[in-house]
Amino acid sequence: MKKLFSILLAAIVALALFGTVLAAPKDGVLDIAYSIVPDSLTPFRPEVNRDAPYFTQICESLGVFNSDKVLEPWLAKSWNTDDNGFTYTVELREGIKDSAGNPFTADDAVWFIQESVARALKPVYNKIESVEKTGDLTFELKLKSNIVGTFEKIMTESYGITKASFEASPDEFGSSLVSTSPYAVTNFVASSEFTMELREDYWQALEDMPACVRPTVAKVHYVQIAEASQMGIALETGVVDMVMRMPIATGMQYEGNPAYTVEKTSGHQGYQLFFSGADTSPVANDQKLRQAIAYSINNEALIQALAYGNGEPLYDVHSPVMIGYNPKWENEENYPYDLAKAKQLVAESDYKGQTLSILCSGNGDMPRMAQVLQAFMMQAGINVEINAAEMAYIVANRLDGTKYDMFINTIGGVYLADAWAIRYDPNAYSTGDGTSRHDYVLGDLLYETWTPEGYTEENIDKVHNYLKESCIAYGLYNPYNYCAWRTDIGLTNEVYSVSQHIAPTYCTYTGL
Amino acid sequence: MIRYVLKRILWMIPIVLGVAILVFTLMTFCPGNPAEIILGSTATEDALLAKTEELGLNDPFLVRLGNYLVDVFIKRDLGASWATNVSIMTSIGERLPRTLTLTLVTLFLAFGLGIPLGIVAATHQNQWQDSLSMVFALIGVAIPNFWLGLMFVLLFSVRLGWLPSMGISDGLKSYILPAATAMMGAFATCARQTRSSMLEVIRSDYITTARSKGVPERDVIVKHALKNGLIPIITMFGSTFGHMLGGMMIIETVFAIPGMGTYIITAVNNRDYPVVQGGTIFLAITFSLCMLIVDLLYAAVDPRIKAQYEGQNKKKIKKEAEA
Amino acid sequence: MIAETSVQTRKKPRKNSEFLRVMKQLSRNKTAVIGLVILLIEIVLAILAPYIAPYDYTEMDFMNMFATPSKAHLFGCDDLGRDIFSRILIGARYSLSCGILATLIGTVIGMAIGAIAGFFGGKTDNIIMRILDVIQAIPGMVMMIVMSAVLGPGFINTIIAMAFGTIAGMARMLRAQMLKVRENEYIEASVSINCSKARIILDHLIPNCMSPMIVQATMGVAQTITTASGLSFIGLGVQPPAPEWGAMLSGSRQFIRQAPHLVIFPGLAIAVTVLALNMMGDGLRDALDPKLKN
Repeated sequence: MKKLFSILLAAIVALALFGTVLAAPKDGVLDIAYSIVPDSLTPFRPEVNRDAPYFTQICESLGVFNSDKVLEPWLAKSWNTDDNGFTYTVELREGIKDSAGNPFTADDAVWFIQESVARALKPVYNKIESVEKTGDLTFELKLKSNIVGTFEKIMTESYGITKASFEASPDEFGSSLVSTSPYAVTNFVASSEFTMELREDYWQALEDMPACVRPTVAKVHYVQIAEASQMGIALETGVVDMVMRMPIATGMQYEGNPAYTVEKTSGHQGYQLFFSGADTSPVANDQKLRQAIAYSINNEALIQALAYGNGEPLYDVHSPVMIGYNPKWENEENYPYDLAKAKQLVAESDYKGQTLSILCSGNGDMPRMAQVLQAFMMQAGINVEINAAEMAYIVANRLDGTKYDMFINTIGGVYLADAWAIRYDPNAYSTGDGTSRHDYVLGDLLYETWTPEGYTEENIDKVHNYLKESCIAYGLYNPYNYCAWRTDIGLTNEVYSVSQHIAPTYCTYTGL
Repeated sequence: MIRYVLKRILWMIPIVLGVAILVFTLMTFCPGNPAEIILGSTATEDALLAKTEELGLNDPFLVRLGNYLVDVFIKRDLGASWATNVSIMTSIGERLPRTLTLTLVTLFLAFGLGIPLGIVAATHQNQWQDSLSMVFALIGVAIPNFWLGLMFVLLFSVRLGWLPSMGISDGLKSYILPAATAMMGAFATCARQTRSSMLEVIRSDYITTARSKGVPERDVIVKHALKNGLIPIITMFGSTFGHMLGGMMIIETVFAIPGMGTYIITAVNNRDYPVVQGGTIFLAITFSLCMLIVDLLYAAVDPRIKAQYEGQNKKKIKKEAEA
Repeated sequence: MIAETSVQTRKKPRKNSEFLRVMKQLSRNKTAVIGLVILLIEIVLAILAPYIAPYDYTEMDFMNMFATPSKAHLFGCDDLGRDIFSRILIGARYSLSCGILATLIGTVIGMAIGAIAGFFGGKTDNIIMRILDVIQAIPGMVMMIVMSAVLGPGFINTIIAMAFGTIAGMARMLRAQMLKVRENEYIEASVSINCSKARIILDHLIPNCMSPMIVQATMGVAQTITTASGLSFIGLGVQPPAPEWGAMLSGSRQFIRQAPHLVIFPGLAIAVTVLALNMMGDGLRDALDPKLKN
């Protein structure tokens, strides 16, 4: 018995010391790890996870943003507007067919948009007045308002799905999909993994596709890895060739290692701290208290603590990647860390020692961020408790400013106006804006920017300055996005997505 | 015997009905409007109202419960997921086999290692083998699962490259690490249970008799002691199986296995009521079937129990078996 | 609770001698004593934690993020530069009280239910047992997660959710014991002299069923502490910055490779406690076993 034990032990130790890591098989498949794989293939989905790297391969859309943030025609051939962005005429390409052979025509495009309006999963469809077919390949889109970015968003979110194929599906494409995309989804396992393969019978030549979505890889395999450490392990053991947007602490490990290529890009959302606008909250109508909190936050330390230095301070509430961002803001002061000033402002405010609550998601870095913020505010003499809640709670309460005093969030959008519309428009929700605030002064400033000719530097500046001065929201920091891949897959000719990080299926590889 | 089995199966109906009612009721108390979660954080007011109506969430509780029970027990349809529209039966059909495989591999490892270790400990009572085995077993219970799992991955996948670190694409091989992680608790309990029941049997008269007749020690242990000492282990096997089936969510998350655990947990987070309900009902049925099989195995091993099942006072036996 | 106090006041002499016997048995069992000592030390440390912790458990020092164990920081520092040793000391308060309270609440409620079922028998028993069947047919972890989702996160809610999980097992166990004890002659005697039902349950039945319950509860505390770490993993459980061990463990698991000490120390704390509780439970089982009485 004793002998057996020792032999076994020796064997394990020996193997642990001399084992080697397996190389990734060269099978022509690009394996990509991402934190989320969708739970269904339906083309009608809410905004959650909208910027995942795979949606442009699952479905084609009418238009697509290239990395220069210019809308390129995709399934649409062209469009024009005669009345300053209220009515658009869109013409589709000829000969579009989905993988079941059904032609995609104006009927289908109109149906898709109408269906999206009815399902109301994306708020942008709420801005559509009407959509009508005007010919086999043309339709007319009437908008309720000409807010900048609306038409572009509708074009990028309306997919090449034919009504016939959709209606033939028993579960509304829950588990299998027929789309016009050059990729066919094969082997879909909900919330786990899926494979996409280039199909032979794609309706046009690949060369005719917009360069930002022109496939180069014959077979892609996306796999969901929720555990941060498992993401790194999957990369090292060759389970995947590439990890998209890995947590910073994991991604950092591969920097400087020649076996891996690490790409760091500016985050496209950033982290924001929103102050409740409900009258029940001590921060709602106390500008000084809000400013005190902003001054108490040491952004550099925050970036150090949460992103290990791999992030940048925000000079606006929102991410510098958004259209409308003005680099000149970077020369202005944005509540630099100043504890003395914070304490002074607290003293001048109406704060009487109440415990303020921070609501945040219980997942990812959010609870850690809340703890650091709590520590900062405590130093300024402000009592804080954390409510790190599950997603369902947050979704149910995020617009109700009576349920929190502060709320950490990360807001996306291609245009600054997109982010503003969902956060600060006092008429956006029945409760007011995103925090139950009813600030019509800000509202009017916002509406000024909501027309193509109104989206000017001057008007945008006004909103920026108002937000900063009133401090109803505060940009915490912008973490870098980390993508890492094995250098031996020979990635060349990098193509970028609108979010400014690599778009893997459109790059070229020499060693897959 | 057949009558007994039939009766037990019939008994499952009220239990499953109870499970359905209980889970349904609990889910309605969950904070958060499912319609809001399905539509996402930027849905409009009107869309929310329409969705709430569509999901039947405006109906009184009893009406909803009634409708659900009719769907499940009369139409025998668990419905479709609110989040994905995919039939729940289809999803369970895909996911249950994975969790089942994981559970079976886990139990195989736990009992395959636990029983011999328990026997070694019992036959060497109070010697170093005994202490070592029991310390080993206790450490197994004490180490948090996901920590151990990641350690295993670092050693066997990263360092040695023997086993896949995650996923299920390598067949049975993919299940070894997750199972080795998940088994620790059951392994320890099994080793300890085997040890104590073996000790009890070894001390009993008939073993002494066997020994005094000159039966070789090896045969005494294998033929006599083991057979009787195993009865409590079988009960344990059944209940562990049931527990594991629904308790694999952490292992499934760490090892990225799309099984029942992650299915239910995602559904709880999404307030996807039909999935939580359907999944739990399914697990409850599996669990009850397991317990039935255990009781039958019990009878197969122990003729006394078999006689009781076939005899008159079945009810009492059942209670005792449960206890 | 009522049951125990009344037992102690009315039956002091008998209980005391029984208690002494058990303690004597227990003291002979080396592993049990070790377990008990470890546990007592932990409890003392937990009580004294705010006085002996070298640092404030929420104090962050960004210069010391991921600092490895040193003289200044015995167990090193965590991802936000907080002293892990201080956090584990304070965390003992959360983890131990969470484990003990959840088990205690679950056991008391379970015992009440089990006692009612076991004593009254017949229809009452049948109904209670069927309800327990239903609850136990739902996998424990699923039940716990659903309960946590219903109650929301937080220390108290976590305790309630976990207490709920232990009720059915305890009730069933007590009932089974009571069925055994009920057959005894002294119960028949009490019934024949018209003792009130409550008195029979509290004075005779429960005390005589206690041994396996105590063992079960001891193991239950260990179980609860591990379950709590599972709940934290899923994102339920106590709120930050409360340094509950399970929360510390799952909160730092993403650093397991770069800074393993972040995971090792809370993991060890849990492991040692669970080990001690199990060792003690084993010892208690032997000590309370009438077959070993001599």
